[in-house]
Amino acid sequence: MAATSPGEPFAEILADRPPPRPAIFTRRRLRSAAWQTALAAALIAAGYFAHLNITRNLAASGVAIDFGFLTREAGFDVSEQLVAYTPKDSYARVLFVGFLNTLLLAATTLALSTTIGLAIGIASTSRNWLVRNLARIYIELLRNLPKLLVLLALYIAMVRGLPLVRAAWKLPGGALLSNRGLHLPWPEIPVGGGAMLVIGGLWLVATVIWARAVRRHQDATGVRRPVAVPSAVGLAAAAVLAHGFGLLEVRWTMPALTGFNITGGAHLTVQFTALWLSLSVYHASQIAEIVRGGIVSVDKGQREAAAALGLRPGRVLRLIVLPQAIRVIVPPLGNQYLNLIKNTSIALAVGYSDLVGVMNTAVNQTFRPVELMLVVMLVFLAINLSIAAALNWFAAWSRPPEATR
Amino acid sequence: MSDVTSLPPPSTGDVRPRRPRRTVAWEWARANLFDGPVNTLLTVVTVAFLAWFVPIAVRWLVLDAVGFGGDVATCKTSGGACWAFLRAKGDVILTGTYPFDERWRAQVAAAVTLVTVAVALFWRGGFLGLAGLFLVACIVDLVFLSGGVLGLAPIDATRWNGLPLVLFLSVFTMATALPIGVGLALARKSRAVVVRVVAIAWIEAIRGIPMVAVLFAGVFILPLLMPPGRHLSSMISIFVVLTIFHAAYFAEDVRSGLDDFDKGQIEAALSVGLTPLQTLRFVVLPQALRTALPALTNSIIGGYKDTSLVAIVGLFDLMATSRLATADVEWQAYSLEANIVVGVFYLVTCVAVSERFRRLARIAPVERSE
Repeated sequence: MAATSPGEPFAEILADRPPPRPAIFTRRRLRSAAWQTALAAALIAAGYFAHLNITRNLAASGVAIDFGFLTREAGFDVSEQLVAYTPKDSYARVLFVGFLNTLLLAATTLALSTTIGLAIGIASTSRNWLVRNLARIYIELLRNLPKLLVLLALYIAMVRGLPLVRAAWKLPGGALLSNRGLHLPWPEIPVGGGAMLVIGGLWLVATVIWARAVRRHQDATGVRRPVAVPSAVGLAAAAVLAHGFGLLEVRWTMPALTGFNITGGAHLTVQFTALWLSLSVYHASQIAEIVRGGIVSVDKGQREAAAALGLRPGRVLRLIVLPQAIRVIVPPLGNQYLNLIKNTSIALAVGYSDLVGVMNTAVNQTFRPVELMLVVMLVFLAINLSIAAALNWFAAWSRPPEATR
Repeated sequence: MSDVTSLPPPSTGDVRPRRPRRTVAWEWARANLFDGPVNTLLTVVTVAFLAWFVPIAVRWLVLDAVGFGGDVATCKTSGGACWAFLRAKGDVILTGTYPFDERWRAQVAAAVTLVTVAVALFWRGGFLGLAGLFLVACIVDLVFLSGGVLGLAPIDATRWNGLPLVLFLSVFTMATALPIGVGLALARKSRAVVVRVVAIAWIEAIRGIPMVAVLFAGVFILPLLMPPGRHLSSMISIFVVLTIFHAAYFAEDVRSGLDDFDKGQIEAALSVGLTPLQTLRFVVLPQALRTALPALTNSIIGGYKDTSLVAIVGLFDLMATSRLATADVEWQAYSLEANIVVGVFYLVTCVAVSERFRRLARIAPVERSE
C-alpha cells in the first residue's frame, strides 16, 4: 500500500515538484533491496540455526536425518489394510498402507457427505415448514459441535451399544452388525470378470448414444423420450443374458460366525464405520449450508419462468435451479472437500490406521520426526494440488455456455 | 425434496395476493405443510419420524432419567439418562486431573477467559485496549493455573485439563494469531519479493496439512529446534503451533477482505496527507476487516471447535476429561451424558459468538457513520 505515491498522476500540475527520475536505481528501490536482502539473510541464518539445533539434538539421541530407514522392517501392525501387509514389511510399505486407508476414508466420506449434504441443503430451502426447520436444526446442531465429539460419541455408542460377535444383529440381506463392525455380503466373480467389463463398457456406450439421440429428437420435435428406464432395463437384461449363457458367474459370500469370529463377506471395522458416519454427518452440515446458499442465489424469476413453461417441480430443480446453483456451490464446496480430506486425520482418536496415525506410530518407534513429517506433508500437498486441479477443471466445465463461446 | 420449486398460485398481473391479517391455523398448515401431494407426503413422513423419535428422546432425557440427587444404584436400574453422574463426576469433566483442593483456581481461570471473551465481543475501545485486555487476562489465567506466585502452590502444566485448558488455548492462541494473520495478509500483498514469498509459504504450507499433523509438528519438531539441553514444555509448543496455524487461516480470510478493497481510497487517503501507516490503520483495515468478518467468524468458530484435537497429542481437553470421568468402573456406562453436556456447552458458546459476530457485521457500517 505504502508504495503508491500520492503526487505521481499530477506531476505536470504540481509544477514546483521535479518530475520522477527515469532511473533504474532509485533511492526507494535501493532501500527496498537492502532491507529485503537483510531479511533474507536473517531467514537463512534462522534456518541454519534451526538445522544446526535439529542435527545436534538428533545426534544426542544417536540419529541423523536419513531416509534409509524407510526400507527397514516396520514391525507393527495396522488396524486394517487394502493391500497385503504384515509387520515384517518396510516402513515405506506401512506408510503406503496408511495412505490408502486415508484415501479410502476420504473417498467414502466424500460420497456420503455430499449425498446427505445435498439432500439436507435442498430440504432447508423447502416450502414445507416442518422439513425446512428440521433441516436447519440439523445444520445448526452439527455445525456447532466439534467433529471429535461427534466421532467419540458415535464410536463409544457403537462399541458399548452393539452386541458381541456371538449375538450379532442379523440385518436384512444377510449383513451382520456387532461391536466388531459391519460384515456385509460381498460378490465374488470367479467366471467372467473380463466379460463383465466388456458388457459394462458396451452398456455405457449404448446409453450415451441413446441419450444423445433422445436429445436430438427432443430438439427437433420437442418430445422427450425416456432415458433412465431403458438404460436400466438394458443393463439388467445384459446381466441376465450373460448369466444364462454362462459367461458370468457371481457368487455372494455371506458373513457367518465361525468359532470366535465372523468370516466371509466384506468387513467394515467399528473404527472405520464410526469415522465414516461421523465425518459424513459432520461435513454434510457444512455442505448443506453451501448448497442452500447456492440454491438461494438462483434468481426466483428463473423458477417462475420454468414453471410457466410447464416444467414439473422436480425438473425445475434438476434442470434449472441446480445447474445454476452449482457454479456458486463448487468453489466453497472444493474448500470443504479439502477440509474433509485433512479432517480424516482425526482417525487417530479411534485407532484407525490412516496416514497420520501410521506416521505417529513410526515416529514413536524410530524417532525420526523430521523425515516422517516431511513425507506426510508432501503427501497432503500432492492430494491438495490434485483436488485443486480437479476443481479448476470442473469450474471450467460448468461455466455457462455464453462464457465459453 | 422436489417441493422446493413448487410455486405460489399464479398471481393475476402485478397485484400480489393480499395476506389475511390473521392467519387461521389450518390455512397456515395448508400453505406450509399440505401444499400439494409431495409436500403432504413429506409432512406425513416427517411427523411419523418425530412421533417415533421425540417420545424416545424425552423419555430418556427427562421422564426415565435419574436426577442430580440420585445415585449409581438407581441409575443402573433406570432406563434413562443418569444426571447424577454429572454431580459425581462434573469436577473431573470440568478440570480433569487438576489437584482437587486447588480446583477453584482452574475454575477462576476458566471464568476469567469466558468473561474476557464476553467483554471483547462488546468492546468499544481501541485496538490497543483490546490487546491489553487479552494480555492481562492471559497473565491472570497463567497465575491462577500455574501458581508459584502470590502464595499459590505451583502446579505442572500437564495437569491443566478440561475447560480451562480448552478456553485458554483457543482464546489466547487466536487472539495472538489475529494480528499476525493481518500482518501475513498484508505481507502477501507486499511488493517486496522476500516478504511475499515467506508469507505465501507460511500460509499455503499450513493450510495444506491437517491440524493434527500441525499439532504433531509442535510435539515432535519444535522441541528439536531448541538449543540442546533446553527443554520445551508441550503446553508452550502447542500454544506456538496453534498460533502459527490460526494465523495462516486468518491471513487468508483477511486477504479476501483486502482483495475486495477499492484501491482509489488508498490514493485518496494519501492525497489528503495521511501517512501510509495511517492509511492502513484508519482507511484500509477497518473496511477490509469488516468485509472479512464472515470468513473470520467461520475460522474462529472452526478454530475453537478444533482446539479439542489437542486430545490427540495427549493434552486433556473436555473429551479427554469426559473419558477420564467414565474411566471409573462405577460410572462407565454414562459417557453419553458427558458427551451431551460437553456438546451443549460447545453449541451455546459457538452460537453465541457467531450470532454476535453476525450482528457486528451488520451494524458495523452504522457505527462508522456516527
